[in-house]
Amino acid sequence: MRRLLPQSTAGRVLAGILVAYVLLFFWLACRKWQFDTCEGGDIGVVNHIFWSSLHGQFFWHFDIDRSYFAMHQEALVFVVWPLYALFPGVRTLFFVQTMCISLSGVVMFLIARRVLKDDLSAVLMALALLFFPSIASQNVNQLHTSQWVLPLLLSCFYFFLTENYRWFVAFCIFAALGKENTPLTLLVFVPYALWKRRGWRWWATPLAVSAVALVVDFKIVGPYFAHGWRYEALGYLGNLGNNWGEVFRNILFDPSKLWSALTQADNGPYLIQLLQPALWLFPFLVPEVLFAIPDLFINLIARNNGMKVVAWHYNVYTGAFLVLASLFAIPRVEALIRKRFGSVSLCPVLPMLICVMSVAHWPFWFYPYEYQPLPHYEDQVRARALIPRDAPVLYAPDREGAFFSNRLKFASNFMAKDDVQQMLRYDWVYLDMNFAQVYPPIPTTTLMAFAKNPDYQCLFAESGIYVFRRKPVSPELTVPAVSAPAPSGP
Amino acid sequence: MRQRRNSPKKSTEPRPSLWRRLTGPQRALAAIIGTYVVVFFGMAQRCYDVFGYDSGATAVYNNMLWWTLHGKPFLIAAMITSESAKPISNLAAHAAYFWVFILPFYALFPGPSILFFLQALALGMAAVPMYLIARKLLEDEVAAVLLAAAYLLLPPLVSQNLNQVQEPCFLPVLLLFVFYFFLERRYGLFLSFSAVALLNRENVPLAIMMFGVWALVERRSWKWVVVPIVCGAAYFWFVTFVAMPYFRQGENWHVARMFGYLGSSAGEIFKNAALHPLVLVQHLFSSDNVRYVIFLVQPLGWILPFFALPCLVALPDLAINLLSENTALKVIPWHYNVLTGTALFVSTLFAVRKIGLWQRRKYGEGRYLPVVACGLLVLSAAHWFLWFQPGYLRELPYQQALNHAIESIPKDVSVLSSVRIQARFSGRPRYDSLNVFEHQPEYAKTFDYVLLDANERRFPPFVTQEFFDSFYKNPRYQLIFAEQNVFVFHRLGGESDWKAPPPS
Repeated sequence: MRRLLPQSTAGRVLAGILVAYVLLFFWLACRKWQFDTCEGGDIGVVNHIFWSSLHGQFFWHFDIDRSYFAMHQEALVFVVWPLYALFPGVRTLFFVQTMCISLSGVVMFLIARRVLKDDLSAVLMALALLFFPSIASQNVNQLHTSQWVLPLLLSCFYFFLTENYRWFVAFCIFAALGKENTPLTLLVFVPYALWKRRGWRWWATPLAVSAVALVVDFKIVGPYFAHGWRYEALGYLGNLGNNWGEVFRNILFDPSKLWSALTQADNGPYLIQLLQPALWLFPFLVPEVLFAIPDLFINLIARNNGMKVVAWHYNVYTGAFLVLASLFAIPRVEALIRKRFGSVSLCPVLPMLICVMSVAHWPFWFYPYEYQPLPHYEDQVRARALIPRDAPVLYAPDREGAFFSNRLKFASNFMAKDDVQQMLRYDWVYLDMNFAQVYPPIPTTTLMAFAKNPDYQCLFAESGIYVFRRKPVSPELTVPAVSAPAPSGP
Repeated sequence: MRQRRNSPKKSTEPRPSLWRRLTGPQRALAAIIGTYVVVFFGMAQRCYDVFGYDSGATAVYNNMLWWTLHGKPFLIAAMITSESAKPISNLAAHAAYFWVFILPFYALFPGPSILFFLQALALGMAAVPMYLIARKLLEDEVAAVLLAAAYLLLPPLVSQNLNQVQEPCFLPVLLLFVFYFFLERRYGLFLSFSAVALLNRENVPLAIMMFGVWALVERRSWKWVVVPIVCGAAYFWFVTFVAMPYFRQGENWHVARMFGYLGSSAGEIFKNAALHPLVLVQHLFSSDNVRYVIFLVQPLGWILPFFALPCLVALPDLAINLLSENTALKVIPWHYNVLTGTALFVSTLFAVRKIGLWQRRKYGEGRYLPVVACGLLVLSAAHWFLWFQPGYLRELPYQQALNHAIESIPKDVSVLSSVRIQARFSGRPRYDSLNVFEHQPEYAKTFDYVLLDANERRFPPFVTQEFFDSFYKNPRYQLIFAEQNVFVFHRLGGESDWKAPPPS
């Protein structure tokens, strides 16, 4: 047990920082969710896949009305599931999310200590990772599973660096069990191992693991659960083709299409925001930046501008490997300067600068008002408390999903396409009209469909929040779920 | 005689040019300053040309200088008394006498462009004393140049290039020489530059007084302590209690309104501040203040400015900004933070020196200071998002219509327009903004031309149908221009008011 405890002063300092980090961000995430100041759609989705699996459905994605594996082929959910079974609820998942991010900090510390040979600099680089905008933001950006893979991917790198083959293979496999884009990042170990002139097994293993993962994900698991449903992420690349073959063909053989995809207007601000905390082009001085490229490339060519929002979950791997590449760039630049100007030491000032740059970009993702209750918060709580725990609910706006995801039947007005016939299938209705600026909007007709319906009784109408109940309550859980229109958000 | 014997023999060779006498880093600094002035003058001019930002303050100072050239020193047509709507002098609001130094340049090239250029030049030239201070403290030329560049890109400073025309932009170069000669212990030059700096604005004497406090802590001789404090206090008293009230003609001092939660007069404010300190503390820790302080010190590494005495010089302005309930004072890109930012940066230089010494102790001999300086430069540059928006430099979709509308108005007539446009009409006897229709409607009706930009969605007042109809359906006004929602109305009847003799 003692070996697991930090042995050095720097290690102990980092451990203290990590404890504070986990507590702070766990608290912030819970607070933001509780006060309903964030998008809650994805919180609802991720919570429901775990909740449903405890209640007779196999990791159900209510939004697409089929198993979650039709969309994301992540075996890692099985690892988190026992914990959720013990402590079911959104807070458990927030805690897991923050823990994974903070564990990535530990791995970064180990890598940095080995590369920079300076404990203080290693702590600073770990902090740079923990506060890098695209990573720190994930503590409070709903619930997503990309961050679960982050410590695993970085561990792969660490064991590659330390030439510990067994653990390298183990973490390659663990990481490949994460989100379906992970094998693309793992594939980068192939050129990297060749660059580093490692033996064949160092590049053959990630190649094999990635290939197997991609085949299993896209040819077996995905289609099995999809039942004809189209892979959603392909829609993000619609500017390059309608199927994978077409997308790859255009990327490889149609430079004009690729160029127009790469030069979309959103890409400029996205790149500046993403690269600036990592000191702009500094990471590109070393080959380690290759690990950031797969996700970065996809985000750049995608037409979905949600992927170009630094604070959303599409930039977790990219951000982490930009920090990692900055770390490797330090000794390289130091060597270059030494050659020209003689004695100079970039440590710990440069790690400190990278750390400060990471932290200083909090305005990209942290908005203090999101952690304060809304003026109608008390009314929201009272209104939601009226709705029985298991009752079928129609809610609006879409972002309120998190509050109703611990039940089998629930849908938003957006999922029901504001179609009266579909919406009237639900016994309870919760409408919060206070989010006028939020997409998708709540049409007045949706409110009136219940307000003027003699079958529904208005139980709550305060501060723009309405709760309706069907007068003759239908038998519970007999309502067929409705499937959503094509998603447009993150 | 001894001096003559030791002095080198007079060389017959011509003295090398200034450029040749400069060291490599100094040449780099000159290039940086040159580039900075050209780029930011270009940006300011572009912002003005494309109506990229509010032009109210540019209009004010352009009009003030125009009137000064036309026989009414410091008069601003748009600054009027609340009772009789008579124009008053800028000296009623600010003890900014230094504008007389700008006047000759303005006389040669009248118009806002020369003000933009002089402003960019003054900001750019501030790098020279900053370099001298850094070189003195750090004894490293490369680090000093990097730090001077970092200072030029510091958000409270660099933002001033695009934040219209404002007096405080001309202060840093003077104040930094005050710092430099204070550090060099050259008393005469210290006092001379202090005296010139005082002419910039009424808040400067408070900063000068702090040099006395600094000297006191450093246990310098009495002249370093007493003169800045006494002279600063006396000048502050004179401008705030004698000179400005004289020019205000009975109007309230606008600064008093910034502390409404403490009272409406200076006496009331001081009394309540002393009697109710908890109210002050509560105000100090408001979310606006916390955010303001974080943004102010973040490009300086948050805590670095607070380990040395020069931060004392920043305290009076910082305290005013923090204690005020006017949130404009807490906006980093506005001109309320030039002095604060400058003093905090000088204070940061002391921290840089300490970091360099600490590194030498811990990691052995080596050149650390340029790395630290580079870090500060990166931090300064990285905070562009606090002051720059590409929209400032982008043409409006209805740019041509606005230009045509402006051209359709005769040169010397009185005009009302939105704050985005009004600087274009400030080189004439009378101009003002559309706001006056709400606050002083009778005064508004005396203007000959009204330009309505119904596309305006950023700077109020926004043109409503009702407001438009108040001209369109009014027989006293004639629509003379209408293009892409930009309209010009001409008031009919009566002699053009600009011919009226200027108010005394």
